[in-house]
Amino acid sequence: MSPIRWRVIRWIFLVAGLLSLTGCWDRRETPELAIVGSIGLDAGDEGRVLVSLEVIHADALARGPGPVSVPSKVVAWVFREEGRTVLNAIRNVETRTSRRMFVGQVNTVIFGQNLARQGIRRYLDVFERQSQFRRSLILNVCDTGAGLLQRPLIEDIPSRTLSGQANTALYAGKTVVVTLNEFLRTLAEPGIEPVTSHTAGRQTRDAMVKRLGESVRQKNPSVMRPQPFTADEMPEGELPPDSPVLDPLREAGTGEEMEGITVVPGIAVFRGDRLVGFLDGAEARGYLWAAGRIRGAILEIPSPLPGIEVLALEVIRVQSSIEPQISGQKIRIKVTIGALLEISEVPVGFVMSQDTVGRIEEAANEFIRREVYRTLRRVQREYKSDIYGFGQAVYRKDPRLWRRLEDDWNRHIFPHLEVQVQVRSNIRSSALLLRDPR
Amino acid sequence: MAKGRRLQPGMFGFRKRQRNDTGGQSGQSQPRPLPAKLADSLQQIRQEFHDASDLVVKQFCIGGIAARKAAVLYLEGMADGKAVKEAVIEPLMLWARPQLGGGALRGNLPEQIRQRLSPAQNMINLHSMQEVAEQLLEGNSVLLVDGFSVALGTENRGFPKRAVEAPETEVVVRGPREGFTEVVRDSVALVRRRLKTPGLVVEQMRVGRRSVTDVRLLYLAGVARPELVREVRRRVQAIDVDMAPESGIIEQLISDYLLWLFPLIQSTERPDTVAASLAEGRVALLVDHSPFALIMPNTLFQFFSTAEDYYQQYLVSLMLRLIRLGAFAISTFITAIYIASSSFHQELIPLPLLLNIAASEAGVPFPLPITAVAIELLLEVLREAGIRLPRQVGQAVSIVGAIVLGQAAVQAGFASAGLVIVAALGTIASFAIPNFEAAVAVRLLRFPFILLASVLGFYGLFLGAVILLFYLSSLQCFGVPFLSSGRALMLSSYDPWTRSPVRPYAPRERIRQATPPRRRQGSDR
Repeated sequence: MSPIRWRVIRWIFLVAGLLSLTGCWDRRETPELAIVGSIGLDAGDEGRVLVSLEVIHADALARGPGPVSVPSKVVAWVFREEGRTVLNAIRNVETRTSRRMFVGQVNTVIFGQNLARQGIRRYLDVFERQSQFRRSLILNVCDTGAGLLQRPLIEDIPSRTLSGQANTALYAGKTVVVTLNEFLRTLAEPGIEPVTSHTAGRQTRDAMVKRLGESVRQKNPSVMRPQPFTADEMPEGELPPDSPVLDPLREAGTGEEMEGITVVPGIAVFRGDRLVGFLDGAEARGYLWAAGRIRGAILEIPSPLPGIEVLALEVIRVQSSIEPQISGQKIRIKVTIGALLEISEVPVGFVMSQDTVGRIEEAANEFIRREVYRTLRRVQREYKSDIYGFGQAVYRKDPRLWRRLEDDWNRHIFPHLEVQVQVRSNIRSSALLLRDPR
Repeated sequence: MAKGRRLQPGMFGFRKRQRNDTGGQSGQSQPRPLPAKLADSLQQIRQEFHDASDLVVKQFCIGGIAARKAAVLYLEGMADGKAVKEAVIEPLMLWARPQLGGGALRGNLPEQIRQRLSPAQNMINLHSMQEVAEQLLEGNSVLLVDGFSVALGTENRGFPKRAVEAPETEVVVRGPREGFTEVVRDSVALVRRRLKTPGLVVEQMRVGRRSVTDVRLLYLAGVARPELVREVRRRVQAIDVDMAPESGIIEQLISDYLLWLFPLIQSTERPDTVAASLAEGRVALLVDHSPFALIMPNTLFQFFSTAEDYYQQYLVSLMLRLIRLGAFAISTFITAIYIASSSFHQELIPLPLLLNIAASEAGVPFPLPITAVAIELLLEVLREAGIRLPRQVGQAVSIVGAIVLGQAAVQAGFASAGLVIVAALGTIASFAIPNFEAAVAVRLLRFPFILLASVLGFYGLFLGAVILLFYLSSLQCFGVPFLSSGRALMLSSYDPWTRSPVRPYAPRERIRQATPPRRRQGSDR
């Protein structure tokens, strides 16, 4: 056999070997997939989990002249199934759909309040274990339910509205954006409890069920019904006011209260993997100050200056440190917050000077301190969950001491900790104006 | 990969003749001396040329003396008839009589013609029939004088040839517009004008038993490695084929491998490129009848450089080189990446794009890889169809064809818009590779990558890339690794990937003096 023929045969063997490696590999053409945008988990009957999948209708959202005409403008459907495990529930959904569920693009997982109060660790496992899920997906707790259906507002895709809201709320100093990765890490670390963002006002199952024209009690959530329906079934021009069609501006323009639009008012507090409560608005900010997680906010502080009632400060940057002071059996926590602020809106008559700035800074210090204490009191007394990571600070300072305290920390020690909060705010500028131009 | 498998002559009809017939001046047969008698000589020459109708024989008497018969021979169209008349016939026929007074007749007439009678610059003595035939075939004229068994060859070629024009395949915006022509002597002159040093060695060789193609080996003595020059010379001398009409054949005949993807020998139409390569220590071959010079050894990064790179300023040419490297990668991989990510790794695609892909592919009847191969083939067909058409029509075919056909295919639902865009992008990117043959190779490479990506996804893609890397690093060109840089060649080229900036020679002090002192402005405001 000539060497060249031998070489060719060698190559054929090599390639054949490669091909045999593939088997029935996970090759799947894009059109075969149902792209899931977000997943909602609710407490189902008898310890089961009710999984809602938001399936994005690609044809309705694709740009440009495609070969496919778009008969309906429904942008997403919600499929809902129950199962003892999340994955099985998803498989159950697939028995009713022509396409396989593709979860690689899921960016939000929403937990209903009921399920979250039971503990979410066992349901998180699948998101951690399965390679398809992203570890960067955002966790969210919804106080009503994780029914998922939401009208697309500005965003095309309903669930992207939610993740976008969480992000804007983050920069408004109202919440945190916690990824799956971060949540799991916090869960595993000693002396700190996880939080997620909190969504409110989500339209729950009732409304959707009502739209279907069926009367199913919310107590029995295991209705197997794709939600909602194509616009074809509706008379032309007479879409139901809350159908997820691509016309958000018209709806927004009416000024009516929009059902199905969520807001992100604050954070959800966990102890371990169980939800213990929510912190909303200024309470959430009180946590964010101390935890150093504030990314920007507008503070409306009562003015220390004569003739001015209130002035608005913008938070530029915040640093905080938690320093445990251990003396014998007594643990005191010292929280130091340094805030860089900017005067962003003041009523008439304000003149910038060394003196006024100093007084505003003092007022801001006091304001922030009060916010921190108020939240702290509630978290210590009511939730008894060390979301600040005081325990972690103790562990870092004195691991041996921590080992003794570990078991009792949340229940007995954290609620009675003496916490000293020190705020040093620094007003950097008064934006563009030195003084009132008039 | 086994090293150095030589190309065997015998392909493409350039088969080595087994019969050792009369063809060619291979010099194996004994030189046949010329007969002294003119009539015999003429008859033998006519016989040698099989009474060729384009063999012109002009018989005359030197100085009008009937006893001094002579004849001029040349091949019609090969030699310049007018030059023959001026250099040989006129002086001998009309003005030689006074010079040939009585006694001179007894001397060596051809020698006297050479020294005293003819004004031709370049006359050589020919002693054998083979030499005479060779001179005639070169386009020179041959003067035979009755009574002497030596002929005089005069150089007065006049075959039709093209003027020096701008090279068509390697267009530059900034740089010389001269390109090689089909006449090797002119091409050599173009190079020599750029390297005015006696160190530029031009060796002449003949290739082809019947075409007897003039091949010139060029190198700079003291710069090119002697082993390299020896090896090139050896390989060219070893060529034994009938026909060598173009340098492309020489390239294949002296190549290291039987089959190769990337051209291992650079070909160029530009004398400035050849001159620069010679100065780097490479060796060039100029082949008669071909405007393409061969430069060896070649390395991969030569494909991404153009002559213009060196004429522009550093930052510009640096960016252009990087763009070309990027175009190489895009052209090779983009279709495969599209296939791999849209049929294996949907999570890699940003969601809005994924939705677009999903929507546009939903209506396509065939699996993505099949559509992809079809589209790629279509683009190749369009390109191939465009090349050989007249220029105006060609452009219309390639552009209109691509746009109209692509658009129509998308609208008819044969292919998805994304795929058409990606395939077109890949093809256009391949045009950004300056070397035409490398661009073709890249386009060829796409098909295996498409195959691998559609069967194995990114796994296959990377596998293919690794195999390609192995292959490229296994290649050698005249003993020089194909992936090596100029520095590793011990050539004087320091810019394999990107060229280095050129340091201005003028000392800073002088620049400063030449600049007028800056006036302070704004102080009087």
